[in-house]
Amino acid sequence: MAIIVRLDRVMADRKMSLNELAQKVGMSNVNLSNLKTGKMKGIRFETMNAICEVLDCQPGDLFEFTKEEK
Amino acid sequence: MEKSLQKLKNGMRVDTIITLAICIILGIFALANIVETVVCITKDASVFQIELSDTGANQSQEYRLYIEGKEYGVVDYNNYGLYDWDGNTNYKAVTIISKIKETINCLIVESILILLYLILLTVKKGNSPFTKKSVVMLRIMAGLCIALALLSPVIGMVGSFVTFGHYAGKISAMNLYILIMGVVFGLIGEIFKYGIMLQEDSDSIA
Repeated sequence: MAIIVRLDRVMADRKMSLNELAQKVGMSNVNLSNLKTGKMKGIRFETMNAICEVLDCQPGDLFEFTKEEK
Repeated sequence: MEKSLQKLKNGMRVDTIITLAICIILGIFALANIVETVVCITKDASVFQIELSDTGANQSQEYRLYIEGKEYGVVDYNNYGLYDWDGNTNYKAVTIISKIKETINCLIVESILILLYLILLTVKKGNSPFTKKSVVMLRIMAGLCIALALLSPVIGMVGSFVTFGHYAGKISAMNLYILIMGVVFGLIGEIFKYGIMLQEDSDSIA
């Protein structure tokens, strides 16, 4: 997919572990790990809101769009 | 979403308890029917009697079955008025056939309710009911419903043929309704397939 999840980068900046973030956001570790590795098809505004609040970032910090060459 | 799910789970708790209670009651009925069938088999044919007695209202009368002189209950004479080619009747055989029919019906309805209980239990545990397992269960329920509609007349026909030498089974409108219910269960199973696809899509969204 052309949209890359940059959650790992923001988490590293904030020095926050996956378990800690999952606990604070109220998600399961598996779901958060799948989101981090780009295995998920989408993200709810509700989840994005919770992640941005915990990590104190903007939605744009979490995702990056790169144009795919056909 | 979480609140709605919690509310649904609480509702399911009551449904699960009611379904389990009906399952237990039907299980007891089925067991009692099996015991009664065995008792009927062990008794001599001469102890089975049908007598016409007053109902006590409007001077009407009804046929009652007596086993060893003890009143068993009101019976449908259309079932008990069967004769073989020599003009002999067999109340014992008819009683056993009707008991076998009741037992099988009880066991089939019990099985359908157990499957329904398992689906409700899945939701109560907080899991989605839209799984392949649920589709299989609904298909089995559909098959059992169709069996419930068809087995009763088939047993009646086979029983009367073996006992009296001619077919005397009847298919009522109720059998047709149960058959349609079976088809409805099957169609719900097919609709669940669409639910599985939506569930898989929902699970892949964080």
